[in-house]
Amino acid sequence: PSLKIIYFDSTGRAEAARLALTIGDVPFEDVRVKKEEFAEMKTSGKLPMGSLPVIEVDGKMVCQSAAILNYTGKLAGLYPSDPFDGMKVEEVRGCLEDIGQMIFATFAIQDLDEKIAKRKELVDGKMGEKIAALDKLLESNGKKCTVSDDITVADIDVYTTCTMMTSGFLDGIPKDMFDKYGKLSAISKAVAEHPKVAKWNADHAKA
Amino acid sequence: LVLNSAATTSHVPPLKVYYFNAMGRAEPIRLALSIGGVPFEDVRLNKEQFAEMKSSGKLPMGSLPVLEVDGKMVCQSAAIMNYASKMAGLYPSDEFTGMKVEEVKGCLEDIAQLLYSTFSIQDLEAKIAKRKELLDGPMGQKIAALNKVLEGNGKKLAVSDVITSADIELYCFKKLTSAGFLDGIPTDLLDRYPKIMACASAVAAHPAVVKWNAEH
Repeated sequence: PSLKIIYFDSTGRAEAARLALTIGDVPFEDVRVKKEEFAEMKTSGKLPMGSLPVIEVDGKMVCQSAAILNYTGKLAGLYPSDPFDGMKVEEVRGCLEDIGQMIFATFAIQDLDEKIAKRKELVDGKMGEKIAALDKLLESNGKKCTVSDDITVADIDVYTTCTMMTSGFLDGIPKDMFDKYGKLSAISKAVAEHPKVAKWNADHAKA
Repeated sequence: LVLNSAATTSHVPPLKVYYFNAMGRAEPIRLALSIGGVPFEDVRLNKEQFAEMKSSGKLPMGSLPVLEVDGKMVCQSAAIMNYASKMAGLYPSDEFTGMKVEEVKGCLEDIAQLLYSTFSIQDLEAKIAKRKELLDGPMGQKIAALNKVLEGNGKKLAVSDVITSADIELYCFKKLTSAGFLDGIPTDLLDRYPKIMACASAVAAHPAVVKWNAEH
């Protein structure tokens, strides 16, 4: 099918799907919209839930980043066909989302010092615990990659979450926060070093 | 109105669904397995048993629900529902329709999250006011938009002409909002959304669901 991934000009909730298609050599149009265009798409009623990302498949718009990653992963051959392994992929997806939600909840804090303090509290507390638990879960999966011996969308998901959090753009989140998590670090590194991902990142590096 | 229901039952290992004695995040899973005729142990924990499981390290993320498959514990309700639906023959085999199922689930989760954000409000008046604000605002808008997505799908039910996990999720959401214990949430909230109601009704009418509800 003809594919378009439509999102803002950032990694956010679209990067994992973009990388899945890229790793799987599945052609797609990488559409990045500015604020004005997004507003226009919203008012024109084109966006099913008024949000991005959406994927356009043969002209049909579908929303929800997890749904899009599920689909693009299958097209790219990066989604396990075995139902148990598929569940393990979704287990990682869910854990990463829970961790992400804790960070997203801090975005609305206006005062910078308060924001940083809240994030430190999360890193040293509940969020840190969840990350440690996820790292342990991945260890106990006992595979080369996240849920299997081959890369799946779960690995890409780990990579995009870790890099988003340690990008340096999130005040109060240390860039080295994942260093102590052996499995998460290793998976993230492996994806970063994948030749197609390395090329993608080089092609999309901002000046 | 069900996809190849018992087709995969012979290949399903023994399953245990662990949760509290409530519908919450386990009910869609229990219903999917019931509709599909997949045998499972419906384990309900009280607070002490949950605390014990937590401290024993048995729960991967210290949370419920978990699914025990061949002695392996898996968490995350969406993950478990994904698997349970496949075992029950209620998950579409083609990738695009699978994505449409996940689209419905994602939208419902976003709507539910708005509701969950009000649970911690202590003052009843403030809670009711916040819920009204959400219903008149983003939550109401999202429900309307979801109904429109379902209508746009052009199928008898959520994403297909037969029951899928998406319909079960819609049914559980309808049950939650119409139960009457959510102050400030009118029990007829979803009545004006015909497609959501149609999907929920189809699940409610399924003999396995009728039996389940009678027994619980």
